[in-house]
Amino acid sequence: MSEVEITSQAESTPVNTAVRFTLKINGTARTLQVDPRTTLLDALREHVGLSGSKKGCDQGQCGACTVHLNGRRVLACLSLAIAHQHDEITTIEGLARGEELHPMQSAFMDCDGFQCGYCTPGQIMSAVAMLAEAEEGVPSHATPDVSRAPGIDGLSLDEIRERMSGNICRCGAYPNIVEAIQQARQSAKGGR
Amino acid sequence: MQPFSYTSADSVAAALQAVDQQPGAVFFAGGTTLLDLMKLDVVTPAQLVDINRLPLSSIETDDAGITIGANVRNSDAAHHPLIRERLPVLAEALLAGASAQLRNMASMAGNLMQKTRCAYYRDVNAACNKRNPGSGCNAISGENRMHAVLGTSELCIATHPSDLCVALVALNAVVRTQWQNGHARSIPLNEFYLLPGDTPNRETVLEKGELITQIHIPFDSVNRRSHYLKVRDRASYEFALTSAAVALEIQNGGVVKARVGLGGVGTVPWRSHEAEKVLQGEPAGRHTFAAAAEAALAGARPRRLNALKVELAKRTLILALEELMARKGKRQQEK
Amino acid sequence: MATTLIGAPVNRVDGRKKVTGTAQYAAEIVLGEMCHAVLLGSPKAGGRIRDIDVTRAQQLPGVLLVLTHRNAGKFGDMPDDMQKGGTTAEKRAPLADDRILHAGQ
Repeated sequence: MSEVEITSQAESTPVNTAVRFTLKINGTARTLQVDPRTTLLDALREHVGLSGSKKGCDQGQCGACTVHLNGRRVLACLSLAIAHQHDEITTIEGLARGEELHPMQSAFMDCDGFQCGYCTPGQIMSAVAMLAEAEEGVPSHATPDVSRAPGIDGLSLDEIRERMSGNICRCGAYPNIVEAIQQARQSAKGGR
Repeated sequence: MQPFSYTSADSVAAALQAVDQQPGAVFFAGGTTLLDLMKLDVVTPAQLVDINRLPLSSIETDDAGITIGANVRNSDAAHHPLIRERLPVLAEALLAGASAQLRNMASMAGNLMQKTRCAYYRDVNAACNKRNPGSGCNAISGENRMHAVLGTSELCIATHPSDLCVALVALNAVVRTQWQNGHARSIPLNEFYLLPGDTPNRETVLEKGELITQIHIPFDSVNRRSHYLKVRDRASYEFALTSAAVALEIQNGGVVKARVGLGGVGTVPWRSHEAEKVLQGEPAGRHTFAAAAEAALAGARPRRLNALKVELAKRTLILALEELMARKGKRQQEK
Repeated sequence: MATTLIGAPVNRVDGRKKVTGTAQYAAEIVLGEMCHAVLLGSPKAGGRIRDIDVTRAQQLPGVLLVLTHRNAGKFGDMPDDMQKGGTTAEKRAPLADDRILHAGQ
């Protein structure tokens, strides 16, 4: 992990109500001094300078704030920053390797999987984790027999849509999002 | 969100003591219900006691049944091979609920403790006897399409929103708890929830400071052949209008044993002994299933906008039973 | 070499920014030292404000000002000419008086 950075506007949160703790974000340790009420989403957007995770509803219903905690997709708006000091947090900004885009990111561009782009980081983070879940043999509501998961190769269009149902897109880019996921699936086998 | 102090417990004993000592302290696990309601100021705990580091995350099994730790995430329980194989209704119910992200965050015990999504409960400016005893109920004369038709009172008609719990009551699940000074008990889930009656603010039999540690589901000849059917306006990521958890033991075309849970219609996760009595001993088929559905909803008290649920719940139960029977032939043989 | 773009599948110029989370939306622009405003709308759809107690809000750390109809002063007239600055659906200026005419006001 790289060096510790202290970020946040300490003046607006005086020491007697703020708490100090460190989060591991995209491989970097970041120390914050914030009100305990700060959600992980607000910590990322307001205190760490990572506004890639979006605030769409702030109540767990749109998926635009999807990030990874230890590789699993979760909602940052319903997470408390202070509760995740021991977790590896990955945001959309941490997906690419330098200039090299993650195959899911390339696929979203190739397939035009967005319009306004506001839901896009959440869609991509969700899709990456979704393929990992499928590869692990996780079933879904769309799986006819829960004892037999389809695996990553067996994902039907219905399966993809069901597994992505936690991410909504007001622009309606869904068909292209599904196409992007199918394209990325080819590169995803073997994991990344 | 009102200010609170945060502490993380490193043992069950420490968690119990923390909540016992601080009047406004609550246990904090997945946080998907708590944070949602705290943002609305519906709940205002003075202290969050984070219990995520407690050793409550295992799933164990023996000849008697499956025991799921309170902190097991919904997604992990739904993925567990034994649950998928031996308690399919449980896996199906879990997968029918919420979204993938929420299932990854939410704990099993938290699912049991989740609050109604009644819009008036969630609005601190509305009258709600559950949130503010004695203030009245805006739902009874308001927008109540999603509200309950079974187990209601004139003080509260809020629906219990969980899918998981409908399956658990059908499977005779047992909740194990602990609280201060070494106290522990086992509570059958069918005795865990309280009907609103005159005190809609009291939802479970849990005492203050009592922590759910495990959920135990006993193996039973009937549990393996089980199914969950959820009916809702959208295809995914929405609460049930109606749902049914069913389990059947069949011999020679007749129902030996039946378990029926109904969702979307009850103020609590609804176990329908009425339906089970009609099913047991009768030939498995549409005629019997329809009679069971009539019995299940006989006590329904519809309101202005949710009368559709009465007929819909009957059809949901019939279809769930028929789907289960259709699957019977295709599944692997019992060991 | 002539290049025809019309009808050809072309990647969006903003594509890379949007898929890497580096596209900047209005709420994400930071301009040095900024004040932040939080709007509190009326939970009631109608009525008259009898009283607003801002004491606790004013005492919170970091609060510069609590603006209500009592201290907002006059905003002036709302624009009413499409040719010069546009029009608004509501003719009353914000925080004009103690009347509530809609939820969220």
